[in-house]
Amino acid sequence: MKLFIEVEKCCGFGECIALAPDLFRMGDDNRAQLIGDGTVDQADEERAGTAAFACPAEAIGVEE
Amino acid sequence: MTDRSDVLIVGGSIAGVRTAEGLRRLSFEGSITVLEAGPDLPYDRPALSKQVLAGGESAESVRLRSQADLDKARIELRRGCRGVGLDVDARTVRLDDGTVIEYSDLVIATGSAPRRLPTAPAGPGVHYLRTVRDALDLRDAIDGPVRVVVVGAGFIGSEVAAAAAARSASVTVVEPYAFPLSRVLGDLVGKRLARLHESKGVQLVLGRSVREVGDDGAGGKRVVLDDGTTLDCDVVVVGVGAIPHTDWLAGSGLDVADGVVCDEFCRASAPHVFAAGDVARWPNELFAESMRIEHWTNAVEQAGVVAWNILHPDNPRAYAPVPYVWSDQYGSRLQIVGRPRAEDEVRIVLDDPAGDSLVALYVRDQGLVGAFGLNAPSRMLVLRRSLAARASLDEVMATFTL
Repeated sequence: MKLFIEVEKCCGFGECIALAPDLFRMGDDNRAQLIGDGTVDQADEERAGTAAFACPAEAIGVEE
Repeated sequence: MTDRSDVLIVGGSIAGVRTAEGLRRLSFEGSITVLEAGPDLPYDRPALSKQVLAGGESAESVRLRSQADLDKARIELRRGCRGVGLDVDARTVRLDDGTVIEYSDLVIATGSAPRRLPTAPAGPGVHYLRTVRDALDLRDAIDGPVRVVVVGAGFIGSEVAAAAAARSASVTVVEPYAFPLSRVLGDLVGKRLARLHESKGVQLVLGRSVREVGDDGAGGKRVVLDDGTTLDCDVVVVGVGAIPHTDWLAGSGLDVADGVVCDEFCRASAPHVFAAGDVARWPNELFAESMRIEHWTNAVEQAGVVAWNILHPDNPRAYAPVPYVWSDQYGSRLQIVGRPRAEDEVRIVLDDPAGDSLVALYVRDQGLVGAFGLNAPSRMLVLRRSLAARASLDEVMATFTL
């Protein structure tokens, strides 16, 4: 699974960071960034999906 | 005619649609029907008073789901369908066209409607804001050098005022409290927000309420205040809060008191009935308080918990979020986390006039209960986490002295 962020949609809510601080971080521009290239280990897929689904701005996409 | 749906969701805005999607995410295979009273596919409601009014975005751009998205998730959305009666013993919902739908589990997600001022009924020149249609109508009305009176300096009123000012309207905001948002945030922060309005040329009339809205005799409106002041204008916009949509539950026996009364698992007072979003009232264990929250993020989060609890009746999750709301006004971002109250001790921990940023902590019984941030999203994120973790005030304060 791979995550991506549509940066122009991100409003910096931090939902994803609250749910998966190992996958997302807050950038200096106060928008979420991926830690690494967005590739998610199988063990973390459910959590990653939950974090993506939780985004109030619907800015996080998931490639299966 | 009687239909049947394993899960029936009344209300097709974000709480309803998110509950349906959440069920599918949890591998639920049964039928899901969502009833939506309005004509629209689900759309992004916060954007109405933000991007749509201020930025001119189209109705299309705020749509959240297409029919194809819903089809793919096997969610049957029936638009223009209003629930008018609930029988919790028979487990049926009656629709306005006479159809009766049986359910195994019901989710009430009927949202809220703008509180109406009896002195200002909606009509030509008098606007309320809730739907995408409302937003488009209002945008047309405030475009250009018109005179706008906004009643209420809450989030909706303030966002409308900012959008109108940016569209070169001359704007006056009438607010019964001493300052914008001072009912919740107190006078210290309220004063700062008043400056934000005034710095963009918006006039504030504070500590005054509206006695009457009539015609000015010249094709415009006349707003009469409680002290007799008159404000002549072209457009009146009323933003004085919202009322949960629970009328249709009258006679159902369901416990309703400013919202559908639920337990900590978002279960209403009858078996197999849940509530989510603006309409739900439930005890939030994190704040030891009964809450009903009209914020977008609450609808998203609560829907996820309701979906889980429908499918796990023996292992339900308590819903105990840190409330969060944001507002975009005059190019600034305002954020509130937790449950600040005007009577709390307010500690300003960051005040940077150059960056136009401010962070205020709200302290009650030696503990952090909430925070307000102006243009400080990273700080607010940390504070939100501190609230969720019930961090001590000392720990929180330490992060601001580094």
